[in-house]
Amino acid sequence: MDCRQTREFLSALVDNEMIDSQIKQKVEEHINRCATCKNEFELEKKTKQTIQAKVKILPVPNELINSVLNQVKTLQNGHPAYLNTAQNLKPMSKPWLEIAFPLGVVLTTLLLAILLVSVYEKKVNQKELIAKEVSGLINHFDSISQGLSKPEILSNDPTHVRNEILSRASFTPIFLDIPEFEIVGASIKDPHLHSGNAKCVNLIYRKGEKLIFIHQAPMSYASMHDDVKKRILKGEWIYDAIKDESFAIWGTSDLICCAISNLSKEELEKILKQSK
Amino acid sequence: MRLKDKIKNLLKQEKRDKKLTDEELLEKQKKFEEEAIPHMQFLYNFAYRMTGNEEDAKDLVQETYMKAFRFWEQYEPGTNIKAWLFKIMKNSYINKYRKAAKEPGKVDYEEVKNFYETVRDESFETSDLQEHIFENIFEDEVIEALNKLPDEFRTVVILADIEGQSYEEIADFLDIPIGTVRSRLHRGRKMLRKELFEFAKKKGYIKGKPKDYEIDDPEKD
Repeated sequence: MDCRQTREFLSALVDNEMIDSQIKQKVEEHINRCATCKNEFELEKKTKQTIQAKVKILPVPNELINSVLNQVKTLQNGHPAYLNTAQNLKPMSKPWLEIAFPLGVVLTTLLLAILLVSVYEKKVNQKELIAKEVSGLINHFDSISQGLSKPEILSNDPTHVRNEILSRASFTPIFLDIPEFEIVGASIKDPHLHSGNAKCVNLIYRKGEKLIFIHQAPMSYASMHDDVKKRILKGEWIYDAIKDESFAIWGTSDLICCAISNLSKEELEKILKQSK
Repeated sequence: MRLKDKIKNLLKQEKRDKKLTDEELLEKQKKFEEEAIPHMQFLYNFAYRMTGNEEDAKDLVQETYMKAFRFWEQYEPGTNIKAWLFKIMKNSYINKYRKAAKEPGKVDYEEVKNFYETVRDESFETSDLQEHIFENIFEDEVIEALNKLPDEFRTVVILADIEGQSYEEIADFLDIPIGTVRSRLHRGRKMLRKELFEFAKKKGYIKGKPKDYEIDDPEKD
């Protein structure tokens, strides 16, 4: 056996993993004859011992064991963990990422512009007014569709979402039946920073890569411009779009509803009319 | 049988079926906890050594267990559960940390070749010097050296020398022949030694010119 062949078996000799006794004997014979290989063998042994002496086995943190056991229980009870549904949301988030930043810049600029306009000019354009109302929601929609923020409820089971919403919300929201769309999740947090009240429901509907986000809040909590409120109370459905997101605002006797979507304005209008 | 009784029986049957499913679910949970949970220490330590920190290790282990539970039906009872769990974790690790990585388990020979070229230039070990290399080394230096190895070599060194797994187990975990385990481990340890030597040199434990050291031809390996 030569040096090269011997080296192939050095680790096995170090670890006492030699299965074939004939090979083992040959390797040992070579090592006893060849100083270089013997040195190599001794060094490898020493390396292993050093690793073993310096790098110790760590105990598993208790909280890890507990959280694994808890998550198993949660999965068991039919409430899929975030991990489960997050993967469903992810694939469609990719094309969004590319526009997320410019969109954010555009929205921020828009908001600033609106603020400036409203300060220096009393007469505010209706279109901009509405854009201001929905920009918070659009941001919320964006961060959810990109997977940057996580809705409190995510499930492939629409009934589960409904039950969760009904048990958590402070009012009874409308569950629109949107043809071909499924409810995949919901959030209850209020994206309007200025209202500071957790009194709204955001339902997330999905069909493949298409998302519709239905925001609902009691009319009394809705902080919006009187002009817009008046239009809605008259029964008007306002459709518009900002960049790639289309939206619709409408009201019922006691709820204010807003749909945000990555569909075109026309498509959203068509779908919502079918859903009524 | 009267219609009323028929309905009654059907309802009973339905109730029983439902109950059985619940029992089955409970059984599944019990089995999972009995079989999979005991391997957490092994998985956690591997995750910790691969990611280098507690938080990422915990995330990786958690993800592994969630996936394992979801795909529990795919596990064949009686087969090596430790290897099954390990493979789930290895895939999660690759997805998370090596997005643009090559195929799992495949060695990037270019990477290894480059490494060997650096080893070749400055050989580093004679028997009189080994004591200096090994005795003055600290834990974090061993870990740092380990982290410098290409993943394929790091993996076998962690499994064999830190986790104490047998060659057969390692072969099973990584889907490679035992001969490959042997040679990867030998090379991995050698690379690690080279890194440790660099530390020793920096700290001044080893002095002298490279020509004083015996040149070890890596081609021999």
